[in-house]
Amino acid sequence: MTSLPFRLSELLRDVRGVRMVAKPFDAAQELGWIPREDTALEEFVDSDVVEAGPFEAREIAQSGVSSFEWFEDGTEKTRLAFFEDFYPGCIACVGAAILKREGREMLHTHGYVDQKTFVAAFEGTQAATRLRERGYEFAQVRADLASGESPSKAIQNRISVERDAKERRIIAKWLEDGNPGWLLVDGGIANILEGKSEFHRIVGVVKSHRKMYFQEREKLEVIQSLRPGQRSPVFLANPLQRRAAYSWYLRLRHSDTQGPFFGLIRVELPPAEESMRYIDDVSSWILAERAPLSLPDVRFDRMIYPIRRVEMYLRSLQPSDAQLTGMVGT
Amino acid sequence: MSEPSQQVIGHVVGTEQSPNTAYKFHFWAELSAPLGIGSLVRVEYGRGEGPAVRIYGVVVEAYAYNDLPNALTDYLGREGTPGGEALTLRPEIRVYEAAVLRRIPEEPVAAVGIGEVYEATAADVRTALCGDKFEGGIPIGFYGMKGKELPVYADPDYILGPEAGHFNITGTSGLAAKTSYIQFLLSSIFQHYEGREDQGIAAVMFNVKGGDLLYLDHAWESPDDASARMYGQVDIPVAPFQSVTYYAPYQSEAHSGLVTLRRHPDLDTSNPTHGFCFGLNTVLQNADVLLSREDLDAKADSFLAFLQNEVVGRDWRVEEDSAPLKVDSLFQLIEAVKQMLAKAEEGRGDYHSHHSATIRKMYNRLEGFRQRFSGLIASQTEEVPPLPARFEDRHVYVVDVAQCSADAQDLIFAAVISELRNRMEEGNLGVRRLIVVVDELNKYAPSGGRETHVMRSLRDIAARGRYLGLVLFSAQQFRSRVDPQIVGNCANSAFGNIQLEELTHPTYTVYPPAVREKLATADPGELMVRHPHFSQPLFIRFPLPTCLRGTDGMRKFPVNRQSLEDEIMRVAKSIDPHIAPAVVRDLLAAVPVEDRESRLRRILEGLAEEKRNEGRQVKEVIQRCGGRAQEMKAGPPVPVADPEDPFS
Repeated sequence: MTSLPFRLSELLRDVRGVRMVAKPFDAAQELGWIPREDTALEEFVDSDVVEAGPFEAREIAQSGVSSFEWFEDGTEKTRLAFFEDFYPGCIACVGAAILKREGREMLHTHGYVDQKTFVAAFEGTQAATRLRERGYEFAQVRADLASGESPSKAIQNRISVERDAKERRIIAKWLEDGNPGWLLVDGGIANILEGKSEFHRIVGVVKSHRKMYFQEREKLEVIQSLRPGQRSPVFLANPLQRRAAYSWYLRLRHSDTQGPFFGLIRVELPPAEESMRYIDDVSSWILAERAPLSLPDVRFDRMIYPIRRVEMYLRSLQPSDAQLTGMVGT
Repeated sequence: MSEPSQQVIGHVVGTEQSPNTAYKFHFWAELSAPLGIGSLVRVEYGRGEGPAVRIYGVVVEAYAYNDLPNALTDYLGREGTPGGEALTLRPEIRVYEAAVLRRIPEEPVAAVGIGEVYEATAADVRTALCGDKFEGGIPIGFYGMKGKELPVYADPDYILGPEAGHFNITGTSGLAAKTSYIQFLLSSIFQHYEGREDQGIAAVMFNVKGGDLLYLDHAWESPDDASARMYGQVDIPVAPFQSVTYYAPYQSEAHSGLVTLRRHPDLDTSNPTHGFCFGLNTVLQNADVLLSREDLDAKADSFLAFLQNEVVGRDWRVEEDSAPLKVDSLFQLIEAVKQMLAKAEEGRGDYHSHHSATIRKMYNRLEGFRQRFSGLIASQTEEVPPLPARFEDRHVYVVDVAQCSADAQDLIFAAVISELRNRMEEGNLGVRRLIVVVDELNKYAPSGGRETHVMRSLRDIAARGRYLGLVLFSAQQFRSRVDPQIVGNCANSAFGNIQLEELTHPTYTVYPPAVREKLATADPGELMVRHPHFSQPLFIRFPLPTCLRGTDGMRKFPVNRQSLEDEIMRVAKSIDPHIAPAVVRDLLAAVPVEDRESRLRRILEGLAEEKRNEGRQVKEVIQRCGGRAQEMKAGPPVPVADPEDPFS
């Protein structure tokens, strides 16, 4: 693959129907995407509780120490570049990295970093054809318009797929290398495990709550009432989607005025029997990671600081807004 | 660009909010990088097909921060508890702002690009400071952290002339900035300046405080290792000055003693201090130093000119038919003026159109000179000038004025500076370069002050001295209070520890805040220097002087205090060997306590005169010059108060 043309407008100049977008807006703003890390519930599902005992809050004995040594995160940055017959095209940069904490310093990637910049264009458009012909890095977007999927949602999902792929690849490499120590992943691990049920020292921390894993009001009430340092019983998440994982809710912080999701995370472990031995330990380690605070990130109540460090590192590698505008070339 | 590779310690950054310019750039560096205000760095970059660029810079500001948006975040994160350690350290960064010292290639003068930053090596320091542009550099200090000092060389043509010249040093007194640095500079110049003998170099210094400069020919007894190492690096022997001559004013008209703390039998044997006194011409030439602004009105100035042009050095007659009076000394001049006054008061109230009040005022002032500057001004004897007829190579001449009154200091300073200026004009210095060291410059050349003869001389030296071989090394505590013409003509400047109040003066606003703050806290032996080849000020340190310090010298050679009474006894014995000491003691015991010292001095002068006249009237002289108050009427003329003359 060839790297991106310095000026996309030059490449697509003679493509009929293409209109470049000069506004230096993030695609999320321009296309009205909903931020991924929101807490707006979209669905309620019912999950099987796999931990014995009543469904009630469990107090975590906090040791103040953490066995997490590795931290993984992925990022994406998207710039609306053009429209072709009202179908948007974007320049996107996705990346993933794992940083290792040595002592109290987090400085080393140990080579676990992968990032790419590409154009996302709709299948069948002339822009996609031109990019493919010239051998440029691009991602083809398919949209099921008949089923009501919007073009902007489709392109957002396509870019997320690229990001997930990067994350999956880098974690797979980490696993292959047989590194000692525990890895804390930002987001769920179920799609990384792809249905495999063997034990790995990988923990996922999910900050978004678009899906609630219980429907019964009593259970929801238990989760909502969790106090800082308390967790829910463990349940099996997504068992039918080859994305199964042992999971539980954990309250990091509390605020009377910030709503029920403030400080609430969902933790995932591989769906292996051995994982059950680590539920309280992992919870304790995560609670120990509450300091330092991740401000000024708006998700500071749920964001583990080392994950913020990985995100900062990845953002430092991303092309700047000016660079992206230059790539669009308007 | 064949510099041996080094470890990169930082990286240049330029952002939209703080972009780099052609003269300033920013970089971040490792936390462990040995960098601070004044550190030199080398930057290398090259993009595309253009030539590789090397930038030399000096750090002028330093910043440190982490990813906290505000203090409240830290407070919240620590839940209000300051102690304790989080599992992950926040990233901490050191960002520096540097000023460009030099770029290679020198053109185009473009903005500093993004590149790698290296700690400056010895070769870098030399290149950054244009050491490759001149030969025979003079070490003026050392750059770098303690224990890793690198010599800093300056172009001799820009310190000693003719290209530029002079050195001005500012620093708080007592913090080893001024005198010590000047001593180091002189050692360095004497060692590294290339001319010899009549092409050589010498220095004239004024000792204005205690025993500061009175032991330059004696070795410092306990040189520290760091200083010895620095001297070794630049091939300066750890030894005192080899050739030093000291001068001090005579204590009395009788040339009986010297007004100096350098009085010890060992010193008198090894390198005695030479006495000096000024004659009438010198006094009149520098009268503006001794007279106040109120004294020197137009009428007084005119009368003084009359004395200089018509009276002094001539066979003067008060009237055409009167006996001629030789006027070669202050005493004779006073006598002449006294006659003029008598003549004026006898007649129309004036003499040669000079009003009797004016004449009386000058009579009183001249008489006052004789009494106030006894010893320094020869009222009846020949002038014995300080300084030799020709200066010798690598020789230091110290004029000690520390024990003199402020007026006497001014007179000595003005007379010596005028003399040097005259010799400079005549090309008669005897050496190619003569360095004159002037401390307390703000006293002799204050900003906004009256233009005195001293100030004119100093301005002239500062403006033209570098062509003519007279170099001014000046020092003061407050640069802001010095005549701007003089400091403006000093191509080289050094700044030691400076008080914060002084740093608020606009003179210092050209320096970044961090540089000013560093100046306010500079340790002894630390200086910031400016030199024509350095495009930015440079922080250096210098070794302690190799000479015996004043306080140590005074401890080692305590002052041999001979009282005035002892001196009177000695002179009395030399006049009349048979006089009994008890008689003299009884006579001296009768001298009133009030103003006793000046009475004793008058006795000493009277005895000296008696001795010159080969008289033997010891008792009479003592009684006349210093006896009881009622006997004083028989003494020298006493100024007459004139109710119409407000200045009498």
